[in-house]
Amino acid sequence: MKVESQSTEKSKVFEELRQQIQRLEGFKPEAADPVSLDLEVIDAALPGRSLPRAATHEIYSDSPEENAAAAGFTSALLARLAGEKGMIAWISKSRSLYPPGLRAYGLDPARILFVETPRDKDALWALEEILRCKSVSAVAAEITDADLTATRRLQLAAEGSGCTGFLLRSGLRRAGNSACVTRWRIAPLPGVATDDLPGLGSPAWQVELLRAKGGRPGSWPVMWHEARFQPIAPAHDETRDVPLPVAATVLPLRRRTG
Amino acid sequence: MTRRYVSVWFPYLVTDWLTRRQPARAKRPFAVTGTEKGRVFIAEANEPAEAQGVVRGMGLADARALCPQIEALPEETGRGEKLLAAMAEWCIRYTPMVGASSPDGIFLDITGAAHLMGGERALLKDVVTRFRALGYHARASMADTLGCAWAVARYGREKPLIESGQQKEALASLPVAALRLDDETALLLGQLGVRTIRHLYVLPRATLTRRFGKELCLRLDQALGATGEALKLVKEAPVYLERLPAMEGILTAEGILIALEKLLAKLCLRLAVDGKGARAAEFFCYRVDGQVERLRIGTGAPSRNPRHLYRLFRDRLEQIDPGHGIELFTLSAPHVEAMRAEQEDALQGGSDPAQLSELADRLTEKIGPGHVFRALPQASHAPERCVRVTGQLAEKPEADWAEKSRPVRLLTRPEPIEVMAPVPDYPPVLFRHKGKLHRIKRAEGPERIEPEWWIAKGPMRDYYRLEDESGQRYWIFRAGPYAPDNPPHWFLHGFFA
Repeated sequence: MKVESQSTEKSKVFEELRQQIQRLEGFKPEAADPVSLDLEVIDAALPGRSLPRAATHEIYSDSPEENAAAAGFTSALLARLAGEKGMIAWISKSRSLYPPGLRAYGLDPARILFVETPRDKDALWALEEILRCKSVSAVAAEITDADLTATRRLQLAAEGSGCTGFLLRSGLRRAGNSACVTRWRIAPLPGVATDDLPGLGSPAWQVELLRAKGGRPGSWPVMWHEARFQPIAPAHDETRDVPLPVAATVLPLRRRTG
Repeated sequence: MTRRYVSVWFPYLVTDWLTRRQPARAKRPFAVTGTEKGRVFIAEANEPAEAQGVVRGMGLADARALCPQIEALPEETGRGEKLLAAMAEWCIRYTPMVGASSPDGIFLDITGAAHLMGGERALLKDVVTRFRALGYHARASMADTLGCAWAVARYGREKPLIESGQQKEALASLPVAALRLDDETALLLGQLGVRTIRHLYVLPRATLTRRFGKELCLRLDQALGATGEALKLVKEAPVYLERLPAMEGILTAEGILIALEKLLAKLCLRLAVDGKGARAAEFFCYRVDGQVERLRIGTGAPSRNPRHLYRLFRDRLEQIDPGHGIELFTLSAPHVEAMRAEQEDALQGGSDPAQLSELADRLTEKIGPGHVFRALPQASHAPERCVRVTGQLAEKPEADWAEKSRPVRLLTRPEPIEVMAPVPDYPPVLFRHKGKLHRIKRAEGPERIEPEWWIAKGPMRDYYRLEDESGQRYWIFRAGPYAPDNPPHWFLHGFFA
């Protein structure tokens, strides 16, 4: 009996300490409505069991195909952050983003304010300006170069306003240190056929959480089905003629976490 | 309310301008010449030339006989009008109601504006002093009517300031030409012994009209104030205009900032009272040397938030060159729109629409118009044309998005690919893009999109959605139908997530 109460007390202390650390790191663990990815495995790896709001996140992708996967994944997160009424902003280098395609990920293109600038300097300025605006729920920005100082500025701006930012970046190998709270890498996986229908099936991605302040990195195969993230069930894979997505635990993690 | 007008006359408009550009000319006789039917005549001579007897309209040869060293400069068409327009615009410092009186003067409607310069006499003096300081001969006069002010400025010998209602007395001793008559009428009147306007007062109107046409009586009535005359403005006067004179020339950036802040506060207060918001604002800085520095900003939605408008101007204030100092600032809102206390908006619920439109304005100001936009659906099947771009935050979609599967990234120009498609009208089994081979594992399609022939030419397209062996998803199309002897071209058009 005594042992039990001791251990619960201990875990309580741990939980309190963890929250303290998170607060120091700029999270607001008591956020009103947490942004869950609805995926037990990923949520568990995130600090506070949800995607931190009022923070900046980096999403890496390298080829045009990966860029598209990252755009889909980011759209889904943006839609979750914006909820029913929120406004979104998207800063891009060129007019390659195709608004009708974002609707599949729950994002209403009419709610997006697009900003187009080929120069990183302008994009960073615009991103900071948007992050400071309390009326924008979330913003995604295609940014090539952003050093520690630049990302720290962005992170502080986000903390001040409550807006959440996603930096869509490329060149993971050269990636330096950053003040963003999480770093992701998204790569396409073969789609998952549902209900044995022919065709492309639901889009699937290998979602890698490369680093997360107060969380645990990991890598998971995820599909987008019926307007939400779903784990890829092994049962589906048997009917397929492509190699199975490798289970998360076996997949080699990229250890370059900056 | 009686109106008050100032007429400014520049007897040596073009020659003064030429002297201003080359001060060495000041003492030398020179003239601007025009050509009519092969005859070169003096259009305008400067003071030293006139002192030697050169007059307007004289042939150049005659002028040379009088004054052998005269320099003749051919007339530049439209130069006089241009100068007058610039001067009129410069005079907006006194009042927004300014008009040109071609060919050699301007009118200012200073009704209710004289107190800003410390009274009518002070204003009149200020106008003349400033133009003289710029190197122009100028005579100005003030009266209740345009006609009277015009006459006194050019022919008046006594006082330039005609008190309200004193037109008849002021005009009496002036020659009839002061009524803005054509040369022929003036000459005819002179031949009949009618030399001053006083003589016209006593002549019966019916006789005058019969002999000289309606023009003479009209001009007389206009000058006396019996008939109204509208001033043709050089520039539509903005209703919302605020001015701030500076005691001493402002040279520093802080000074300009303070002036702008003060003006914005005043302007926005007026807009708020009237329930309006500015869609555009103009900030003019009048420099001591007569130059006008101007900045213009636009907003995406009507705004009367001084802080927001201030931020739009702020980044561009460095473009203002204060020269030797700025003595007057004006801020106007040439374009205003009705604005409710809480502007209703098409798309925001949780967020503040005013904040959003301010953000959009700031972004547009820095990154450039056309680069900050929203995308709305447009009724079209063509992938390139089903998105309509708008800068308006409040605009509502007029159509619905097509319920089709579309890529998240679209190439602005479809890129050609090499394709192996052994079975006609079946998706390809592999394609090569930028030297890389993609083996197709799964495919969907075709989705046929016919060209909108009334907009663009081109063959119909059969779109396929493909997935290669590593799970990368593409949107490709075949341009035109299959033809064994003429293989169709294939293109990559987008990437699915």
